[in-house]
Amino acid sequence: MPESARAAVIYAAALVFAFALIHRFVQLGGPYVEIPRTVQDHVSREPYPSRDMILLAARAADVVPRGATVTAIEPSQAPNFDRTLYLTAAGMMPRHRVVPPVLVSDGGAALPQYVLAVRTPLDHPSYQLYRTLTEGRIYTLLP
Amino acid sequence: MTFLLGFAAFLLLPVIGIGIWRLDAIRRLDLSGRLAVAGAAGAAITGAIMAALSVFGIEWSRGRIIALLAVAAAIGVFSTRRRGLSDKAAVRPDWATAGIAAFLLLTTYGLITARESSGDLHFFWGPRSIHFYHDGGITAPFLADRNNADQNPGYPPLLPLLYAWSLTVSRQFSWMAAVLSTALFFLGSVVLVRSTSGDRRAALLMAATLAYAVAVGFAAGGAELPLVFFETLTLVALTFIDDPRAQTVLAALGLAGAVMLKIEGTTFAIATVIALLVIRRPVRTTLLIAAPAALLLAGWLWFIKTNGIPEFYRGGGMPIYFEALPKVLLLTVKAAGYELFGLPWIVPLLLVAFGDVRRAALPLIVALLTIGAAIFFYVHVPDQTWWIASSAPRVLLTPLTAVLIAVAAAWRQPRTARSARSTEEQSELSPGRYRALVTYDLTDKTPDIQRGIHRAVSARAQAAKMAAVMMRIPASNGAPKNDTMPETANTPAPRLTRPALRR
Repeated sequence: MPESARAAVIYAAALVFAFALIHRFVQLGGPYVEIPRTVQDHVSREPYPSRDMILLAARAADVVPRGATVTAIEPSQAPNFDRTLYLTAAGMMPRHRVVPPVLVSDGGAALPQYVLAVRTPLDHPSYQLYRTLTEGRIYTLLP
Repeated sequence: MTFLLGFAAFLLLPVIGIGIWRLDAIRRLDLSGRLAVAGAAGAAITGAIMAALSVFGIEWSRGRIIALLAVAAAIGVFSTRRRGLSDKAAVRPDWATAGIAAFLLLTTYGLITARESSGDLHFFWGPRSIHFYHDGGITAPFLADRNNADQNPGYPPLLPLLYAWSLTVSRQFSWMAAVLSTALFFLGSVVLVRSTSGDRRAALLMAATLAYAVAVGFAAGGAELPLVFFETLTLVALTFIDDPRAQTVLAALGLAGAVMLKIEGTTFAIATVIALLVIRRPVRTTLLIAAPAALLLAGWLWFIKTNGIPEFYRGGGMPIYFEALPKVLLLTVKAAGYELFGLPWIVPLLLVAFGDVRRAALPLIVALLTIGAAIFFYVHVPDQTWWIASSAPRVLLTPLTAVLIAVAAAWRQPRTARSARSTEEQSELSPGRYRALVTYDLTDKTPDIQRGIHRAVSARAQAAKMAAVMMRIPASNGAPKNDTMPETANTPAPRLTRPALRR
């Protein structure tokens, strides 16, 4: 294969990749020229719950007392909560003790003092609504 | 402001690692290549200093870290300031370079608008970095806490350390700076190939393929691109850099960075060592290249074992589900298609096939072994569908990068032409003086004059070997022959001919 043919193959492939990349960006939806609120805003056409949790946890960090145990869930997923939500909250609330989403007191283990809930309300006998924010709700453990 | 400071921390890495420009082979690279290599060294130095502070029980502080890194940078600048640098232009305007710039812009757009972000950034890389920063170092109790077991605490610490460095500069973690650092590692990888191989079109193919594959794999902000960067450094050092010392140093640096970034970096290091043995590189050199990575890995494994930190390094020891192998292969091939019918693989493999496959043996063996390693780990889980779909496009970036480097290797110029060019650049004479001497037509000069000129070149440049390559010496049958330079100036001087001396 002469160098010119090799060059033609490479330039053609580069064009295909460029078009495929642009097509992919378009598929992920708009707005296209706006700085997003989170780094998860456009990784899917429909934002993931983790994107909502980024926003809620950032707000909750100023609302929930420092050092409190906190978990993060989307209540409709009970009992198999998406564990990535509490992991996301852990990065946004370093002054708190973010724990896995276990809302059943198994073997006497203490329940989290606060629960961050995105998208759907939490209906749990041990928790009451603490604060409603535009990004979601915060629940606190009943005394 | 947080973003600007956080991102500036990554831009400072080449300054911190500028000491690596002491190596002759690095000084001969163009500016972009030198910056990329210095960036790798800077990342390693930053990680090493921050880790060392934790090892010695010294709490991180902004002042301490910045002061230590400033000292490292100052030593680097001082040690390189008297050495000459290549005057090659950093960027020569041509279509391939314009193409690379276009893909950098496209990737940057995708990053800034949050279209390529890795979930792992928010799930564990970011949280670990932030906790390290708030704890004032790598703290075993945080990593050993069962509540943090989902954060992959046994994963090696280089990326969290780099993010903690960014956080140290900005004081508040910038998620966007972390995502955008991917553009730097992407550019660094492409520039390394372009600068060391001199093959701008192969670099364009790498830029185009990686830009697309990273977007499909949602790898931005995760450890994959830094890993690709260090892996690229290893492979280009072993494939394109002829100077043995620089080759060993850069390959060792690349492997050390890779094993400290991800567990997959360890499989890459093992694959590289096997590949080096297969292509019969000296065992001593191979051991030297692998030693820093092995020591660092041993240190990290000792740390996680003594502190009871969960880890996955022994994943290969779990039960194997052989019955799942066909499904694993099918799912991996599907993921490897990158939603474009496998084009990211087809194009480079086609070009390698039409080139000299033997020259590309090293990266091809590494690609094969790392694909095998990925499949080996996938068959250790009974139901791999979700795992492969979510991870394979990112895990396969390593073999994909190796195949892309193989394109440049397979179409590499013959050794003679490259040696001639580098020899001229190695000379400590001024380029003009050196060229005047070695291209001087001596065929009609007396043996004494020939010997005198030859001695001038050899003595000033300490260039017995260099001159042997530059001066095409006629053999007894009149055919040009290389590497027959006399060992001393006392031996009869060769007859030099002008046409043979020209490149």
